[in-house]
Amino acid sequence: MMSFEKSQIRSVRYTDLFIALLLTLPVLIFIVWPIVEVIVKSFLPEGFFSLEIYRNLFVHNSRLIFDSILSAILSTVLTIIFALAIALYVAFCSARFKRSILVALMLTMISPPFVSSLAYIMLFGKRGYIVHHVLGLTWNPYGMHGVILMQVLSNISLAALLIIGMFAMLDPRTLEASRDLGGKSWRTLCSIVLPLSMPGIVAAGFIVLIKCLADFGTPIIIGGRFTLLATEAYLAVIGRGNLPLASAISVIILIPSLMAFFFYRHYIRQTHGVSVAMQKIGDRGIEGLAMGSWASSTLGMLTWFFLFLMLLQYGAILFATVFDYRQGHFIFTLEHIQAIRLGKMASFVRSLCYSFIAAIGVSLFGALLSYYLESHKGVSSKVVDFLSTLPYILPGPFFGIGYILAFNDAPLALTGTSAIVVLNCMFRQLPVSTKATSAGLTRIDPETENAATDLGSGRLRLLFQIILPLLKPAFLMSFINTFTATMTTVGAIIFLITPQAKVVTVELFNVLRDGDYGQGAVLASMIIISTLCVNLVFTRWVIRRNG
Amino acid sequence: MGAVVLKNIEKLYSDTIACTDINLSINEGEFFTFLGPSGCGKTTILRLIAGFVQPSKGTIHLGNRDITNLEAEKRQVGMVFQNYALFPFMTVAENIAYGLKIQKKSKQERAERVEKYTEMVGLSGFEHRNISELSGGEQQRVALARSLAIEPKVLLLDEPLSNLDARLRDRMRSEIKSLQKKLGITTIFVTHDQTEALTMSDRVAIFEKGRCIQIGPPEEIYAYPANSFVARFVGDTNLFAADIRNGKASLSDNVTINLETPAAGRFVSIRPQDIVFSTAEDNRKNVFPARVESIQFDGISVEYSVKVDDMSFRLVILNTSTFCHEITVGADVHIAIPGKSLKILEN
Repeated sequence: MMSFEKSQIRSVRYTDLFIALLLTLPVLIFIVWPIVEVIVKSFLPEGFFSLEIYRNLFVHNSRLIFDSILSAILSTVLTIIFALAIALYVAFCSARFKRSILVALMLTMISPPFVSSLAYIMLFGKRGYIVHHVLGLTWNPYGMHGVILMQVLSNISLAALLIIGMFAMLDPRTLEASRDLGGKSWRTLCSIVLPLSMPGIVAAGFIVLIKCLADFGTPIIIGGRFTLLATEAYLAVIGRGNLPLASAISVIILIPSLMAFFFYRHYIRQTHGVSVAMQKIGDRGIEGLAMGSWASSTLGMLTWFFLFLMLLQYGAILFATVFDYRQGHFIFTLEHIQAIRLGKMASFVRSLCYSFIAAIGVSLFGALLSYYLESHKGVSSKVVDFLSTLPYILPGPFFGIGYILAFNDAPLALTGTSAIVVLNCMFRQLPVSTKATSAGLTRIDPETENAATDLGSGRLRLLFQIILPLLKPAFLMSFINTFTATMTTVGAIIFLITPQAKVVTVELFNVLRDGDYGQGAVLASMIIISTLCVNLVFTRWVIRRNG
Repeated sequence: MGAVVLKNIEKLYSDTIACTDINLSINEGEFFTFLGPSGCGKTTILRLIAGFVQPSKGTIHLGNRDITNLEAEKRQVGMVFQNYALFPFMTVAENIAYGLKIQKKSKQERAERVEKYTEMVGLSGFEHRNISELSGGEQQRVALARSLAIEPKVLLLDEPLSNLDARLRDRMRSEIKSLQKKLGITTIFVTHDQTEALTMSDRVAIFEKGRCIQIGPPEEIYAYPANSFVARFVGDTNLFAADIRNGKASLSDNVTINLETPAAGRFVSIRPQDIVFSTAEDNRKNVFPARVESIQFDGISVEYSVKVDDMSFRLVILNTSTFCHEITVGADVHIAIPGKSLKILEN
């Protein structure tokens, strides 16, 4: 009897171990291994240890490093300032405006890379419609200012939404307490609202900083002669096949990201546990504050100006799909659309397939992994949790180059296959998926699980019949996020696709690099419209399912 | 004229009435309690006084000043929130000094007041602690000191004791009360706990469904509830619908109680401690045979549930040293209901 019980217990342990391995192995193979490969390659370029590449970079290209960091910081600071202004305006403005601004911000999140750049060149470029035709000016939009402007424009929506989310979580009673003690709106804003939302603002800044550092496309298209580290990494791989150099550059880009990440973690830990009784009542947020008229009109002007720019941007792109600007006139043409039909349709369909598979795959895997991590708290699960968060702070090129290095030969020769692209997109979005699931899991009463076990439900049955249905909203969120991200990403996968099996964002990047803006407009529109449709369909589904 | 006067106050949220027809006059230095179940509008009225919401109708005066349209930050009322709403990134001292900084008090005066009020709430030596290092009770004290430090005209307390455990709640109850006495500050206290209301208040206002039903000192409200809702909500009671005529109240066919003084109404309220055990030989009026259904012992007293035919009565007997516990569940007993213990209520 005794031995029977023992063996039963042991078998449970083995099942656990098996599941743990099954879930941890992919994390090790598809996240840790590529990272290690990049770092190793940068220090062992020819198979033995050498700091030559780093020395060259720091000695001869210090300017490059300086420019990269400076422009990324400038972009981040400007983005956060604008995002903060918009978030404040949203908090203070009437409910009707609030809704429309939020919808607009969310729509502009669906932005394929270079959309801003494309619109910018069409409107403000050397031969751009507004600069050249309306204003009659000649100026050079290319250079560092152009890059920063583009990065700011394409990151404001994300940063603003993150900060708005933070504001909504503030305890309105803390703000009331400030007012009750005599604090006028501005005072309450500066000495209570901003310190309280600092973690959110820092987080937003840190995400934007990493995105800017990793962005190589914008400098190639808009930078002119102004180059950055990410650009050099891209050119090193694509132009010269110099993987050690690309690896070293990727590692250098990673350092500021890592610093930002650890700073953020430290910051969070410091302020953690202070949310004493931060219960949320309704979603009043910081709405109770009244804003002075000049302040609110300034913020309002900034917000509406940004939304106007976004409208202009998307409008210009849609417009340019069927109109050409030649000799001062707009000419209707179907040339660009026809050109797509002939050559690039396959890439578009392939992108849709990749996005769909990656989204389903990572949402499932992320849910399982997160469920396992939540139910087995311990040192090892903490490590796995940390490792699975890494892709979030990895610059795109880093992750792409890592895949080239890791999966070029046996045991896993994946180079040139569709699988490597899909896997890359999957694991890059894994952090969002696990975070969404664990947020969903914390909302599930732990007793639900116990109740199911108590009623005699087995382990797998419990997972598939009780836990997964409860996680449907998180699953859908993860799906939408990964689908959108894969449809619009270029950073990592540009290194992984083959000329025979391109994806639509890479096609877009190539036509823009070659200066074919009409084609670019059509491709961008296709990405925007298809992603928007998927988003709408699935968002509706989420909303309907949740009543 | 009172320290806080509310005239014809009404607050609507779209179509639902949060409170209506509120007329209150709170005296200088008074400890005034809003008592009612959740959703009765008491917190809304407190927030109206603090200025966080605007009334749909009516006026609010603070002293002689009409503050109906004054912004919350200019009202000089000190509010203690249910969750304390402390500023988590500031120390205890910084929290307390926050309002003083806004009042542009000098550094020295700020330091003096912080010292005075931390001492007053018993937190001396805690000045440089972070909020996250404090227990719930200590946070409560900081919130109190922070509100008192600005020396407000009125102190508003929004269920400040509801997040504390029972023992601490008892202690804070008497501490707040004695602090209020010492400072002589006009205080409005919102609670759904009748014990807090009865023990702490000079006067209590009872709210139900957005209306103020009765205002008076605790003893008066307990002794003369205005209706059956108040009788049930304040203190425990036996409440029955009754046929009342000719100086007699008929609770059922077999239970008819002779009244001391004739009265009219439709309900009868009898406090559990007014009913006593008796014997069949008792030749007083209003004695009824009964059967003991259940017994609850809580140390200070013993509560019996007995049935006279189909009617349940609850009795509370004080557990004095001479009390003997010979009555058991199922025992046949007699109970006596003194005619003067009956409160006749209209509705």
